[in-house]
Amino acid sequence: MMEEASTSASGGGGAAANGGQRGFPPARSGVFYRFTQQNLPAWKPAMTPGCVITIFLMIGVTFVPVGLVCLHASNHVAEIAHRYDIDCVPNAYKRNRQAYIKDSSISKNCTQEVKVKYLMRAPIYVYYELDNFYQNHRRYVKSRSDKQLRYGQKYTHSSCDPIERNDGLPIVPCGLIAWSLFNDTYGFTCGSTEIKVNRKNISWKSDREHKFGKDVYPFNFQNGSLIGGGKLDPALPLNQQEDLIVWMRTAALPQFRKLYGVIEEDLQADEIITMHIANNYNTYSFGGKKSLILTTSTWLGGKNDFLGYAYLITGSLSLFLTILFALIHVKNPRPHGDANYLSWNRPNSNS
Amino acid sequence: MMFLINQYRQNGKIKPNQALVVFLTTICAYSDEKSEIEELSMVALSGCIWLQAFVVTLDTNSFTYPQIILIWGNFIAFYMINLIVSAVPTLQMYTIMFRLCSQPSYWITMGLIVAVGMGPVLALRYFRNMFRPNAINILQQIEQSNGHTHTTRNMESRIISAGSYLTHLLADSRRNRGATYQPLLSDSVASDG
Repeated sequence: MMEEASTSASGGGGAAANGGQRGFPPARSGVFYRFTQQNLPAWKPAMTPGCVITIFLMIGVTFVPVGLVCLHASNHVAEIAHRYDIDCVPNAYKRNRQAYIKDSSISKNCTQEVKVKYLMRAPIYVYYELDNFYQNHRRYVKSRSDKQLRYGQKYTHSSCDPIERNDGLPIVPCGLIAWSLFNDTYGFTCGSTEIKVNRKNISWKSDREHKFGKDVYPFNFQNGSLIGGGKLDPALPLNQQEDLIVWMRTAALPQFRKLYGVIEEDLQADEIITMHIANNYNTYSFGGKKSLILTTSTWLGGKNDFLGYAYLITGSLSLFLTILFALIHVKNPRPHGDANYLSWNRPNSNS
Repeated sequence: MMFLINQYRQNGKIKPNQALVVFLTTICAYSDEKSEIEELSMVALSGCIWLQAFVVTLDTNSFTYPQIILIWGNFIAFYMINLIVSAVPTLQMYTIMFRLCSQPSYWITMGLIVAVGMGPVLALRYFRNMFRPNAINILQQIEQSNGHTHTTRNMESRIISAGSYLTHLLADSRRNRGATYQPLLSDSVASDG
């Protein structure tokens, strides 16, 4: 804010009369003494009209272009979001969806078609999106054992309760998070051509290498009377169960997306994509929503207009304040540091 | 996460509306995304650290190098500590800070939090200093003007003002002690706000 009005330091040298006999430097010459006496060289910024106007002008000039760049990046993201949890219920079960989802004898396969509006360049990320699913609930978040995931069933911890043991044997992986693993699956075709989805490397490399053990295998998982989600291949070690690793990165908000796979080929505009969905996961009992997302990505991440608009609005307001302050300063200038404005110097002062 | 922001706000440096700015900006910038709990918490905490540095800078009227070192050293130490914690595999924070710092959206969000949090405070403070200054503001401005050249006439008026200042200081302090009493130091004046 910050027009410099520097106060010069007092550079008083100590007396050197007894220089030969003094073993210590004089007490008045050190930095600490000058600090305690408030005599260090100090920069005392002043909030002058020029400085404040310049600050707001610089904010405006910087933020408007950044906002435009962010909006441009967000607009370059092509995204298809398709909600399927309602459409995939057979007509006979429209009024009783829970009966449909809980009956394992009913086929859960579902076919949906969507149209690609804009060209989507590879890589195209396939996400599933859940809504009204509170992965941030404290007891849910705590219901896991990182040691067990890393080192094996000997480290099963009571924090996994109530999914800790079954028939006296430890459950690997234990805890509510693993138990509620998402288990819908997706396939895509365009006409008669299958679109391949790469399901490798969808989890964090650091998770696969340091958080989940390569010698830890699922054991006694989903063997109880209550099945919460997907089953795991008991022949694969945990560090290769990428769906589980992705799911156990708990989301911060009740509406979240998690990566399912990556499509490595372009999707042309006006193509019709057929989605083959296995609608296994029960979101009907708690009023959740399920969507399938196909999206491209930029340096800014996914499609998110908020940052762009927020920067544009902030920059515009700053420019407006710049003009306002300049006009006020020109039309109604105020003296800087005028002693006449001190209360005891005013003619009509009561003091 | 709101508990974290509220806890941090209680040190007095971040005002309630600024805490709201941190919370809403973090939620809106990272909603509908694949962010997880640790990431979102760290974005909000970073916003508080950034705002704190700027608020303290705005509140300071006299910068010696200990002040500068402490304000921005706190800022740098925050990142150093979190990068160190992010390098420990057994912690939940493992690799979180590295991922955040490599995302442009993180830094863009920080810039937005600082601008929206500090802009209104700066504007209001400027208006108050310029159009409704109290004695402290005027004395600070006089002190800041001492480095400039002044004529003899200005010097005489300042001497007269100093005399009146001493007289009325005693009277004012006696009368205003029941109200908000702000002692005046001879060298550096206590900050307001």
